[in-house]
Amino acid sequence: MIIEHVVQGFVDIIQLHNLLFLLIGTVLGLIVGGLPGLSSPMAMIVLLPITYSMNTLSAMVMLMGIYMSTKLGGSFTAILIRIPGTPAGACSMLDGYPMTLNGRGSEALGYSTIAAVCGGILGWCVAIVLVPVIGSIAKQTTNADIALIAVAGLILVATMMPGSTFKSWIGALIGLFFGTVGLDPVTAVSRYTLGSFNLMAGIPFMTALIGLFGYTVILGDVDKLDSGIQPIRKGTSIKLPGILAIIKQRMSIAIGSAFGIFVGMVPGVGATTSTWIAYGFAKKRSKTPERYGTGIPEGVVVSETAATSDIGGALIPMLTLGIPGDGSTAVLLGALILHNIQPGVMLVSTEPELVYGILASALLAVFFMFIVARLSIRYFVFLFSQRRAIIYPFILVLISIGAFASSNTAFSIYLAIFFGVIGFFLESRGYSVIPIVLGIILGPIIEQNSRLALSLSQGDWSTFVSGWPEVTMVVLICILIANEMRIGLKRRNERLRHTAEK
Amino acid sequence: MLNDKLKDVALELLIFLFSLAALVKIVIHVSNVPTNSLVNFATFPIIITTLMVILMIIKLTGTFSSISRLRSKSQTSTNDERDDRSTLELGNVLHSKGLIYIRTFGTVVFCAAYAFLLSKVNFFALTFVFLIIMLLLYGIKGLVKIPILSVGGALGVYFIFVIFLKLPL
Repeated sequence: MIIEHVVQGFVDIIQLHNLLFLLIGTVLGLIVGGLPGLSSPMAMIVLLPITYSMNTLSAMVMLMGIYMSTKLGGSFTAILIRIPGTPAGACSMLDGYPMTLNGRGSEALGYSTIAAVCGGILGWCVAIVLVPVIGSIAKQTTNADIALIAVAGLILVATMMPGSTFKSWIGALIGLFFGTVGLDPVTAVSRYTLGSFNLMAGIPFMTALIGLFGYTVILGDVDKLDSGIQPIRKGTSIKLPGILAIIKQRMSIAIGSAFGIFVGMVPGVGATTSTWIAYGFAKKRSKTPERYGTGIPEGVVVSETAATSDIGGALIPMLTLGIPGDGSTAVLLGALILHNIQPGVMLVSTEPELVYGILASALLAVFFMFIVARLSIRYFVFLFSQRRAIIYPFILVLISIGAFASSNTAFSIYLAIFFGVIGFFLESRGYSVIPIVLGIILGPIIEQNSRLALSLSQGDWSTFVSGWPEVTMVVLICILIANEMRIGLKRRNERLRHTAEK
Repeated sequence: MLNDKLKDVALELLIFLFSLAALVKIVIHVSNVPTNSLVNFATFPIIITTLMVILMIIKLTGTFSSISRLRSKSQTSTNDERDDRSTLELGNVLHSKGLIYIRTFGTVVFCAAYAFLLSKVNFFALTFVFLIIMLLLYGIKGLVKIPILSVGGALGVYFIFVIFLKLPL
């Protein structure tokens, strides 16, 4: 049955129009990934309005093309000009850029490309095995389970975010708050609509996404518009390593993909963390750790493998539980909602063609990424050299119209700008916008399922601890909160002791 | 460092006041709307806003104590630690900071203006002018370069959104 779905997924994808969309997505992803300041979520958001008129699978195929290839694009600029296009590319820079300085830039690009392909394939293999398994378990969940999974997912994301966990929790609460704006889904009483008709339907998720991933990024980068770009050497190409050289990198590929997949499965952690953990582990277990950072292929391979295998890992909670692993999967979820597909625990059973189609596109995207990168590197190099000051006005137009297209009113643009300004101020003081986005997505899910669970149990709160899955979730939530409180108190006591000693 | 903490306090105070206002609003709202159920339309917002208020109080307390620690540190610092930047350097810093503020504020204002005029002015012309303004605001120079980029961009966007997607622009 599952094999039939997998095969059907590939059959659905291997159609001319879907392959064309995948190609477009891959090209755009490589470009956007390579341009510093532009992220995968932003590229996906910019293209989202274009997907309105497509069928759901075609839209997801194009977005998957972007998602997969931004990682490699980000590494290209990291390797060539020491400016990572994406945060995950920063790790590839450690060994990739020294290789460029040593005249081995083309070789570094080659190792990066092959590592990305290996990571993408391995991530896909794990995803294709685990998605049906977790999906069938998830099918038996109750409303209480769904609410608890969403709460646990949100707390996990906030806890795992780099930086201050406390600020991430506040961000998550801000997102949950914005999720309550609009008419109450059960009683239709208006909440926080400020008398506005436009807010009665709630805050459109896409509008918030465009604001937080689009306007926020541009406003935050205004101080970098004048930064110069180093020219890239002419004639840059990708020199692929031979089979023996790839086999020699097998341990780096294994380490990178293991960390990428399993860290990617943890919501909120993202590729950036998985690349650094994988790199650190590879360096630690190496017999010659001092060589890392001097320009060795192992350093490039382990980080690039982790970055792309992370995608396979992140797709697992997204498709089976409706919990996005990172900003890009949050946009993918938004795209599903836009096309009237409700993500969550039932997605695998209610829309198997779509789920396996998305997984099939993830694998095909790997090969498209390889082919496009190999053939077009010199054109990308030209684009990577452009200043942000030229690119950002066009991005502003695209995201403004994207916001407009969600409701055909200018109000959506104002709302997106509002979220952009909020996100800008919050990010400037160290708050990440990802927990806010997740709060907006998961808030309505948590509320509706909790109220349904209580309604079905006639107000009995013990429905949230009625079985071992529920108890496990509650215990996990308590452990996460207690652990963070313990770490916070420990840091505070150390700080006070340090101050007293001074 | 002290300046950073003061900015933190300002933002945290804003979030605290916002959360408090939202909590008060929903509590008043639920008292005005008759409801039999203990779990109703206001339960979730009340839980969220209460948690926000509590967390912000904790955060503000922490930030205020950091500020008082920093203040006592700066009072005991020696004269050698005084900032000796020249007036010219300070002037340069202020100028670049001013430019950043203008660009940031300008981005918000012009985007809002773009949204406002979308239904009132021809889309192609508006996008063309918007691109010119933004390119100039972001420091791009060139009497030929700017119009060419703007026309190209406006044409591309017009084709994608009006011709291809048939948006009512």
